[in-house]
Amino acid sequence: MLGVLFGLLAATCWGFSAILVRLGLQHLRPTTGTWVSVIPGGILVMALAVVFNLDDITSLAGIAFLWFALGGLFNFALGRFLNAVSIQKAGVARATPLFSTAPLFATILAIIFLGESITPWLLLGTLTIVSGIALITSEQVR
Amino acid sequence: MKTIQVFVGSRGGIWLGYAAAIGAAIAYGASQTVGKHVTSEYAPPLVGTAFSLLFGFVYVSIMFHRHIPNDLRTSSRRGFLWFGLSGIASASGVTLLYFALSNAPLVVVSPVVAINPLITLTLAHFFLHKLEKISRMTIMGTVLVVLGVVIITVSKAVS
Repeated sequence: MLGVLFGLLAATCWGFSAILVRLGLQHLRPTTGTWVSVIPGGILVMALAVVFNLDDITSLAGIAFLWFALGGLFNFALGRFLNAVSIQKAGVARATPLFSTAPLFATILAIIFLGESITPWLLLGTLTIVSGIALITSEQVR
Repeated sequence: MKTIQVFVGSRGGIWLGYAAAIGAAIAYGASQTVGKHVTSEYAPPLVGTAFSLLFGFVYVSIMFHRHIPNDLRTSSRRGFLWFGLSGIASASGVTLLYFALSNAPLVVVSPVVAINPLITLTLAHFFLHKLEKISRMTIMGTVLVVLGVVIITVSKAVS
């Protein structure tokens, strides 16, 4: 039950994050906005990591930093910036469902690079997502 | 202080927005794949996210170094406030996700988290009603996307 509650709160936080980006875009470009958004989040998560995982931090392998660098590139430099651009151009309501399809692309990448297999459920999920995207993008622009 | 006029809905712009959203989904998908490798081989999720954010800050500072100093001088402070709060909300979401996963299995947490776009639509209805109109088509499309994401994440978690 606690896990479900935390999951719901996480989803609500991300919802508010998208709304706040939309409001911020009234005053700031997506480029500078992305830069600003990374700072407080970084301080918060780093502080929590130091409090809860200090031993893990002090014993990190050098190669781990290459992976962190790759993760930072995909998630924050590309993902968050494109997220802000999409909200600016298409609006929160139309952009959010599209960039929430990340698990589909994670699965596709896992099939290509990690050798995971294609299942009927994956095909069904993909078909459902594509149908949803088609509905959203076919809407007449007002 | 300047205010940027944001036009949502011009035909060319909206397709650029869709392309950017799919680009963001691919980038987030790639970061999830990297994150999976990091957490299984090198570090706990919180440490991985903290250092990824640090690297992300460096990248973004380099990529947008031409805009940042000028905007710091001339843009409205409200923009900084909203984006700063958005960063805190996003990071809080990641932290809460870890707490969720430490209290319940992935098969339970992933569908709950996947409803995030529906929560965003609800919040947009209340907080952005002057900026955006949410159509029935968008709601139906979002429900289908959420359903598809739930099918994929739950089937992966079960297997």
